[in-house]
Amino acid sequence: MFIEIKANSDVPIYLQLAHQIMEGMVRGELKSGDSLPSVRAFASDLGMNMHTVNKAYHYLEEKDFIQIVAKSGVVIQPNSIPKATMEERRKIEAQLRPLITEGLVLKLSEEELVVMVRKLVQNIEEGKE
Amino acid sequence: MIIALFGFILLFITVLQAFMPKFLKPTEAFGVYIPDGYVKDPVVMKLKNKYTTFVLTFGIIIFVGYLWLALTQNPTEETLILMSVSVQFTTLFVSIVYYFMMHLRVKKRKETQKWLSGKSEVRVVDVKFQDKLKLIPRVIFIIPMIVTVGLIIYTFMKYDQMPEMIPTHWGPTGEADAFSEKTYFSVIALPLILLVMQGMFLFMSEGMKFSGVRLNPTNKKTSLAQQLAVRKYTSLLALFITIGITLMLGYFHLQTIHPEISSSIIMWALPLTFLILTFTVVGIYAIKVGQSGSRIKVEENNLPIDNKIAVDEDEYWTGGMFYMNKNDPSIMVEKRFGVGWTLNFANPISWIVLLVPLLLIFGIVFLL
Repeated sequence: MFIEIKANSDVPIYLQLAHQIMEGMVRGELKSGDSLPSVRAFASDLGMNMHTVNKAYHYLEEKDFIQIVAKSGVVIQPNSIPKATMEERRKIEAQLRPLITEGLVLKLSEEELVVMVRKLVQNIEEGKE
Repeated sequence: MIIALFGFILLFITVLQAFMPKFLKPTEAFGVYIPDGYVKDPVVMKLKNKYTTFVLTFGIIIFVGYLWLALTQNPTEETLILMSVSVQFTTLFVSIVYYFMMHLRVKKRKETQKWLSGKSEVRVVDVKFQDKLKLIPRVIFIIPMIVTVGLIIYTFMKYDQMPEMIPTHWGPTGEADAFSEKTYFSVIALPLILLVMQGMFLFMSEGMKFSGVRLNPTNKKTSLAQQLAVRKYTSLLALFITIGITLMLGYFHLQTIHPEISSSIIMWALPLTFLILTFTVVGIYAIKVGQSGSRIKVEENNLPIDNKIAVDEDEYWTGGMFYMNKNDPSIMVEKRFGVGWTLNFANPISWIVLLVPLLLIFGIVFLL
């Protein structure tokens, strides 16, 4: 699976990395138990600092999406990922809220926002930008 | 004999240097990153041709001059060797200076034409690369090293039967012409050097895992296949050379212990065969694989380019030749101007990798 990192983006590199890996999981290109590159190999391919990759991996580990096993490496969560708990749901809602608000301030209708979400889900599943 | 040998090497260097731009990725010209879309820039194309013409013409003049001097002036063997080596350096030096002039011109062209503006620089990584990478297993490289260790042990067992003077250098006719006194160190100097070299080639093959993969966002699949191929063939090349030097130096060493297997024909034919084979294999490698496997073609539907280019790394390439990026943990990196590998000189491990084998070999030679 290819991931693409934009060098001159406002989104920090580590977040771009984490998002791309999550998108790969959504598409099924990264299946549970699949191994991810070692921090060193990943950083070499990116030509970037190992801290950046570490940060991305820890971000994903906190969410329980990957497992970092000393010696054997980094793998996509081997146990199936359960549906979001109430707490996780609330967290996503809290993160979405300011964005929806921004859209509403910019006079987007509820319908337009729903269409936007549908379009995004479709793009993520098809691997489009 | 010497003239033919050095003449061959000189011609080989000249042709390889002159046609270098033809072996390289179109996205790198004289050590400068050229974004897709500008690879056919007329000025860059003109400079490439100019470089080839100049280096070829200069090299041929040197070659003819060398042959003429060597054949008509009857120099002594020492003068001849000195002369042969200096003409090689002259050709190399001149081509590097000319390269550098071209490097500056391409760099300036890139800046004035603003080839990067309005483009989105993208880094592409295949997260499954390491699984797809096929290298010669480490153990295959370790077997010849075990043989060398065995050779050292065998030498100590035969210590008493060995001659009082150990040959350390062989002349072009295959006769030993320099000797060292027999000590426990001098009898194993040759296998020790062999061991260091075997270690270097093991590292070269293993280094393919610790070298960043740069994929081109406009043709990901092609550049992926090329990157996998170039690493596989580098590993194969390292194995070929390891086996070659093991056979050659192993024979040299064994015939010191057992003079009865010595033969002056083998003594000069072996290195010559090794040299010619190595040049042939390196030549095939350059033509077949090219830089980053740029000569390996893959079927791919190139979708229209959406303004994406690879990340411009010119700032890390001093003179387009020396890679120094302290963030990148890579040790080995592909050369920009040349087929093969160089080191990330901002990584301290690179210096260790470079200096330790050199110091070991010089140390062994010095202690003899």
